[in-house]
Amino acid sequence: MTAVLSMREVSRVHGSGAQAVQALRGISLDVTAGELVAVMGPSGSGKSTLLNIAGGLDSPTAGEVFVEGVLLSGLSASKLAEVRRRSAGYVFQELNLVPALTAAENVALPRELDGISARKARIEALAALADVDLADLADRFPDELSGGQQQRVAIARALVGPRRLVLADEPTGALDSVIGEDVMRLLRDRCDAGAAGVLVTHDARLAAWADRVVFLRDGRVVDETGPRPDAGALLAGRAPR
Amino acid sequence: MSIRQGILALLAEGPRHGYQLRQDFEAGTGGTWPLNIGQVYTTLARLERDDLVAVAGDGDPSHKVYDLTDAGRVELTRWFETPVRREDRPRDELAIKLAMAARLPGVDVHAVVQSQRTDTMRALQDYTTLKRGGGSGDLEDDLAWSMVLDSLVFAAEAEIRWLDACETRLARRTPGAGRVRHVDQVEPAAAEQVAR
Amino acid sequence: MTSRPAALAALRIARRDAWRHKARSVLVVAMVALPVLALTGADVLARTMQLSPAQRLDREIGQASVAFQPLGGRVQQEVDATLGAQTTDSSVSFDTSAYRALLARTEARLPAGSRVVPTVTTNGPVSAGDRLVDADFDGLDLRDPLTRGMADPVSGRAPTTASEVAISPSLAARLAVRVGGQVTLGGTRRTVVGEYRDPAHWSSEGVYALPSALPRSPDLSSTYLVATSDPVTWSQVQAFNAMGVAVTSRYAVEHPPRRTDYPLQGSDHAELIGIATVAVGLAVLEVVLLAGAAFAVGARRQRRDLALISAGGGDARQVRSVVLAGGLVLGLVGAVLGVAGGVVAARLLLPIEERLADKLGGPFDVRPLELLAVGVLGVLTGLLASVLPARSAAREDVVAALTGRRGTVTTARRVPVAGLSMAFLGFVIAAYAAHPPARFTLILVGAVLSELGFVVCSPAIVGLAGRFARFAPLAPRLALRDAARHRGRTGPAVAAIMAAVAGSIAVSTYIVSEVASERANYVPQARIGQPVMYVGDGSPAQVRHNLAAATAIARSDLGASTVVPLPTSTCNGSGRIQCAFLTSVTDPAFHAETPSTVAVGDANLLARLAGRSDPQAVAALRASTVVVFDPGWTNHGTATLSIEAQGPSSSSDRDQQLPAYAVDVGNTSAATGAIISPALARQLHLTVDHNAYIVVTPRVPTQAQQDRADAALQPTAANRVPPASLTIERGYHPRRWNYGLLALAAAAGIVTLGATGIATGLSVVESRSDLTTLSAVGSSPRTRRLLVANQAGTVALLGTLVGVVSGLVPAYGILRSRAGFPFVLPWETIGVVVVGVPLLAMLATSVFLTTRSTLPRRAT
Repeated sequence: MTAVLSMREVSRVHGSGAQAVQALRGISLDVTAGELVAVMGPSGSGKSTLLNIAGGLDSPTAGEVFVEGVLLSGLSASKLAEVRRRSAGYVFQELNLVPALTAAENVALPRELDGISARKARIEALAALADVDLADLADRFPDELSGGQQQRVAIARALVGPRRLVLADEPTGALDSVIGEDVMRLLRDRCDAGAAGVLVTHDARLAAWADRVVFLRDGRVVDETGPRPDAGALLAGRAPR
Repeated sequence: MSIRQGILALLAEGPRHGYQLRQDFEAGTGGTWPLNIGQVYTTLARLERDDLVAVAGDGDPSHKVYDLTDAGRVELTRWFETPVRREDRPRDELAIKLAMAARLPGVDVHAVVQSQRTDTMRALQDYTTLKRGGGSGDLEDDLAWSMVLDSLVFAAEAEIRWLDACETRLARRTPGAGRVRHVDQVEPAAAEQVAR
Repeated sequence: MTSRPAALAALRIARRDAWRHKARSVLVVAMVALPVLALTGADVLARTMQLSPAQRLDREIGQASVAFQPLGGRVQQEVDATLGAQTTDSSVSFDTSAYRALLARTEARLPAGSRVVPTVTTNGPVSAGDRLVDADFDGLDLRDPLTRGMADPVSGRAPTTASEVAISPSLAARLAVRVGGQVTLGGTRRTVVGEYRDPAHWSSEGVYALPSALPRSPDLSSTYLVATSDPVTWSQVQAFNAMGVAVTSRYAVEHPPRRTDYPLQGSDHAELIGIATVAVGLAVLEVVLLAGAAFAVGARRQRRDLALISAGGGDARQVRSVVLAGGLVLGLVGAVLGVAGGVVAARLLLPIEERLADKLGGPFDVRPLELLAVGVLGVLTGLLASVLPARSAAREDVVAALTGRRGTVTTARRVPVAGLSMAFLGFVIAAYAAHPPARFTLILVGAVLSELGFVVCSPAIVGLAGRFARFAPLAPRLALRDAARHRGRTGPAVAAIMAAVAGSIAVSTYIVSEVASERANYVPQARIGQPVMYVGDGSPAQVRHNLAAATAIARSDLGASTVVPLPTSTCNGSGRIQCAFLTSVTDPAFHAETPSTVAVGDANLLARLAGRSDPQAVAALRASTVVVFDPGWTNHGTATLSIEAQGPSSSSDRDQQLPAYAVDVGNTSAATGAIISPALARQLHLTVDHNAYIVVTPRVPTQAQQDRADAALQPTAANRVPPASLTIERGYHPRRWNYGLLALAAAAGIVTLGATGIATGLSVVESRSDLTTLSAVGSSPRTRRLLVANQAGTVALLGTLVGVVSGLVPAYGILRSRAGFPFVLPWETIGVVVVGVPLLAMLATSVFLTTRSTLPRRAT
């Protein structure tokens, strides 16, 4: 299976000369459909830079990024925008939704921006909202939704239409742990349903929802983990300490 | 310590056989704490010796039904009322291991920290997977189960954070660490610049 | 007020906040500065262009301390006689000898040691090559220091001999001569040695020559400049008046008597002052609204900071004082910048203003007190504008503000109802107050009230517009919803644009109505574009010769195909003659300017005069009915002819009623008031004059053709009497624009665009976070540009629409106050404003917006 997101030896330097700061150093990362990859690391480790580069909001100083097989480097700003409309969706900690649009309109936004008719975009948006169990709140404005509901709308928007790459940056940062867990569960479910996800967080508990956790430090991958095939084995071996 | 109190707590619900106690114990802790039947009988014997439980009826020794004595009830209440003191818990082998690794020349402390973190992260992932799997459907059991799981999750998380802290501390000690600290301090500012 | 440390803290917070949010502060400052700049600039320009009596005197009498003009009889005059003087005596007995005697007596009574320099003002034709222009002649010695200031040197030098002249630049252009060239004046050729112009009328066509060099002119056109060291007081002036001499004394002008002390009084400026009151009042309102919009936006953006102050133990009063302090700080900066910028702008614009005004301005006139007042006005408006936001900020729900939750904005239904009632009431008051005699203060009250009413409505209007968002495509939907959601911000922005647009509309309504009124009152003297030629009189041979010469000129210069006689009944000539002209019995003042002569001719002539064929008129003409070209001459089917009989010794006149038929000539006139058949003329014993001819041309001759023909029709050395004169009715041409109104319109336009730019700039700053989201969702830079442009356009469009309506209120009031002024809607301006302003706002925002994809920032 080809990766939905593929980063090859990506480096990013902010600034130049004496002020140059190496945010990423030769990162390679593949995320396939159905997979949720967490990127962990302390603040300043380059997590957010990685996420911005993955969606074409920022471009690497070296290396290549492919989204759905499309090479991002060299694309014009409007072509990059097209990639974000069609392939990748962002979920941020806050300020995800346009306050002037209803939930359904927010979800339909990338589709409408892509030139789909408003009616068709709404149908797709309602389907995406149904996937996150928010079909009945479709016509509410963001102000009228709770924080957790807003994040669910954002996830629905990230996956509306043909999009299947979710780029989430501390999506539960502004939520309490129980609501945050619901949002993570939803993200996990969407990935199990076939989406590819990248989750940037400094919180190990959130990262644990991922299939794979990548540890970043100083712009480098220092650790990488996948799940053990047999969870029970661990339990058996774990004695109370 | 806690198996003893766990058995007392189970018996407070009503008299039970030894093997029933084992089953209920495992269900009550969400299956995260397996017991063998030998441990159960040894513990019951000690509790009987201390007059905290009593055999409720006659019959086959292997089918003895145990019940709580008054002293046992008092002991159980005392247990619930007393917080678990940190110094009561066993010493953490990992902490000792890292402390030793840091002292001994020729041991790559970073590698120790990283492999430990990877392992703990996997454990954390596994707990999360278990959590997703859901419980038996019985609400009471699910609650107990997810609470025990949460305790494991939070403990693992704490361990990872502790390992992160250890790593940072080690990085500071290592020569050339100034650069690392430099990045830590500068990057948010750089990101801010970009954002504008 | 709060205690002193608290007030200082508020000022400090305001200052820091202003510094921290530079973009917003700059915009707020601009909102205050822009109108202050406009007011300052207008004040300085007006003061510079407005001459003091002494400065005006320099133009009229140069450096002379006294100027006098013998008129005979008893003279009544303004203090400054150049503004008006009249004699009670008719000039019948005031002949040359009497004039000489009066001049001598006047000179004798002047203070000892006076030097008298004569000047002459007259006019006549000047020609060069084949061009001829009627020009003003100023006979004065430009070298004499006494005349300094009366003419404005452009190039060359002053004439020194009778064969030299200086001419004005516009005359030079019309004659196509330069310095060093030759012009013919009074039959003699003169060398042009310099260019001078009238400081009070730059574009006038004038000739400057030594008084003796000009063709002989009547004595009454002479003014004598006097240099004397002794002042001539008003009582002395009155003594001269009694002698029959009009005197302008610099001393008297600078020390004027009380108004009751002199009989002749100038025109009343009350109306002009009244209109100025309304204009300035509305300008001030505009400033307040502009700045108010800025502060409303500012206070909303400050919400969190203000809430933190509340959370930190600040009471409502302290929160309010922080916002008020912001008003003070920014108002101060804006006022200072506005005043400084206004002075600079006025200096830069002065040459343009002088060209528009067609005259030389006085010395650059900066009046510190007035500018201080304007500046204080700016600061006050800053404060005033921050009062409302301050009050609402103080009442803000702290928790909602801190958590970033925005309260749902709901407008109570009664608010827009109250606003509309206010607007309507204001209109009623303005309309009522406008009834002559107009009460301009009340008009201002009405205009302000109605504008405030619309201001009150503006959030509701924005909200209403938001309701229609559902059906709009993405960009306008987002813009409308956004506007409706942030009514607290867009409402004031709409109000600001509304105020500016209202000003523009009011001014242009006034201009358009004034032009319409002039157009309506204009009476053409012939059919528009139809040249009429009057052949010079003389012996039959001379007349034949003149006609042949004139016809040749008409053919060659005007491209005439033929020349048709236009026989009329006139009393020119000698011997026993009888003539008739139209008169109106019902309205003696009827169209004092409407042609009233009577043509004598057949159906062909009728058709030529009327410009159309009317069988009924032809029948009427044959039936000896008077065919008039304006129904105003008829009364119950009759017209009145005033028939004048002139003999060598006696003259008489009588009125005769005759059946009449009015032919419709459309919105023009015929060259005569009526036509009668030759038979009727004979019957009435009328003398028929054959001097007038209609020149038939394939198309209307151009001004250049006319100038050439005029030049050819000039007296020559061979023929001192010109063969003919030529007139071409060209219909109504708006006179040179009233430059003051034009400047006002320009200022209003600039303020409109500025307000739109600023208001949309503020909303762009506000929508930054939305743009980040949109960028992350994958909107292309073009789409984001479009979205922001739509936001700007929405605010601008709503503002202009309301502005157009509210601008008509003061315009209606002022126009109604001027009797006979029509109320004409300036559709062109409305169209330009309604389409242009939003378009420009959209264009400007999309150009200035940087749509580089902004990287999102996490709050952690």
